[in-house]
Amino acid sequence: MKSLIWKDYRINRLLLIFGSVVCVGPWVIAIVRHLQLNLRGEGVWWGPEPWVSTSSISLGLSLFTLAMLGGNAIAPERADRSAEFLGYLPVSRWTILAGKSLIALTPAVAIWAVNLAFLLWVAPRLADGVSAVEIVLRSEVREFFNVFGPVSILLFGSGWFWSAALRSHGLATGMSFFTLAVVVMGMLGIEYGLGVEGFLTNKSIAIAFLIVGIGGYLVGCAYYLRRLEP
Amino acid sequence: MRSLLWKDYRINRLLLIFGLVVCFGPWILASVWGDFLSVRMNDEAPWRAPGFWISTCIFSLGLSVFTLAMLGGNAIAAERADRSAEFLAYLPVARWSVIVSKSLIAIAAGAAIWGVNLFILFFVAPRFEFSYIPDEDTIARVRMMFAVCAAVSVLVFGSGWFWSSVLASHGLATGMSFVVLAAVIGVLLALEFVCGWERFLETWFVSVCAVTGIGGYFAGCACYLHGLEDAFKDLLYGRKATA
Repeated sequence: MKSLIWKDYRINRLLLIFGSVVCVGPWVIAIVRHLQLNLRGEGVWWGPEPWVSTSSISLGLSLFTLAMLGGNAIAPERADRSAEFLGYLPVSRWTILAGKSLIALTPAVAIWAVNLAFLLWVAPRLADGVSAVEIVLRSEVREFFNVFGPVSILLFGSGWFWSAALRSHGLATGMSFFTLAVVVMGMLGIEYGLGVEGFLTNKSIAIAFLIVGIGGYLVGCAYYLRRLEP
Repeated sequence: MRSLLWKDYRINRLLLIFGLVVCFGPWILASVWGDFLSVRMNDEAPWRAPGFWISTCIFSLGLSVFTLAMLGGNAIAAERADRSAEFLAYLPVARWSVIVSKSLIAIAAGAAIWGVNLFILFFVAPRFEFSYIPDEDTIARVRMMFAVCAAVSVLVFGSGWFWSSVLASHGLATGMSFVVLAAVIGVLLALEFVCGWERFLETWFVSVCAVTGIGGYFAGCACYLHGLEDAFKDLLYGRKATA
C-alpha cells in the first residue's frame, strides 16, 4: 500500500504542488498585505470581508486542482503505459483504487481544511475585532458550502469517471469541465425550455451537482474494478 | 508531412469525434426540440425566427470552447505522456514540420467548428425567410457574443498550447488552459474594482483574451522548437559529453 501511495504521489506531484500554491497563495498575499497595511497604520478598515474574499478566491481556484486531480487519477497510467505493468503486479485492484483515492481525496480535504483554518483560526487572530463566530454567520461563508462544495464534488467526481473510462487524461480533465457546463445547461434547459418554473434553485443545483459528482466517482470506481486493461 | 498529419490525426481522433458531436449536437437537438414544440403547441416552426439560429450557434460555439482547450492541451504533451516524443525526436524530421503538422490538425478543427456554425447561420438560416428585422441593439449584442466566444476560444486554445509545450502531462495542460481563463477574468475584475475603472472587464476582455491566446500559441511554438527532446538527442549523439 505504501509503495502504491508513493507511486500515485509521484504521478500527481506537479499537480499537488500547483494545488498547494493555488490554495495557500491567496492567503499569503492577503496576510502580507494585511501586515503591510498594519505597519503603515492603515489596517483599521480591514474587517472580515477581505478574509472571506481571500477564502473564496482560494477555494474558487482550487476547483481547477480538484478537476485535474479527478481527471489525472487513473488515465495517466494508461497514457504512459505503466497501467499494464501495474496489472502484472500481485496487487488487488481494490488496493490500487484505495491508493489513488487517498492521493486524490486527501488534498481535496486538505484544501478545505486549510481554508477553514485560515478563515476561522488565523484571520480572527490577525485582525482586531473580527471573531470566528462573526465570520461563520456571514452569508458568503454559507455560500462556500452551497456553491464551492457541490461544484468541487462535481468536477472531481466527473473527472474521476472520465479518467476511469478514457486513456487520455487531457480529455478526462477537459470532460470534467464539460460535464459541469452540460449539467448547468441541462438544468437551464429544463427551467426555460420545458417551462418548469422554480426548478433552478440553489438547492436543486447543489443536489444535482452532488448526485453527478458522487455518482461519477462511484461509477468510475466500479468501471475501473471491472475493466480489463489492454 | 503526410505521415505527421496522419499521426497527429490518430492521436487526436477521439477528441475530434467529440468536437464533431459537440459542434453538431446542439443543431440536431435544437431542430428536434423545435419541431416537437411547434407540433405540440400548434405554433409556427421556431426556425422562422432568427433567435433560434443565433442561440443555437452561440450554444454550439460555447460548448466548442472545451474542444479547443483540449486540442491545445493535447497538442504536444500527449506525445510526451505516451513517450512517443522521444521516438519522434529520433526520426529525421525537422521540428518545424512537426509543429506545423500539430498546428494544422488543431487549427483546422477549430476553423471547421467556426466555419460550420457561421455557414449554417449566414447561409442556411436566411433561406427560412425571417419576418423579423433585428434592431441595432440586438445586432450589437450578437456581435459581442460572437466576439466573446471567439476570444475565449483563442485564449483557451493558445494557453493550452503553451502549457502543452511546457509540461509532460496533457491533463495538467488542459486544466491550466481553464486556469488561465479564470486568471484573466480575475485580474481584469480586480483591476476594475481596485482601480475603480468602470466597465474595464467589458471593454478589455476580448482584446486581452486574444492577445494572451495568440501570445501563448507563439510562446508554445518557440518553447517546443527549443524543447527538452533535444537533451535526448544530445545524449544519444554524445554532443554534450564532447562539448
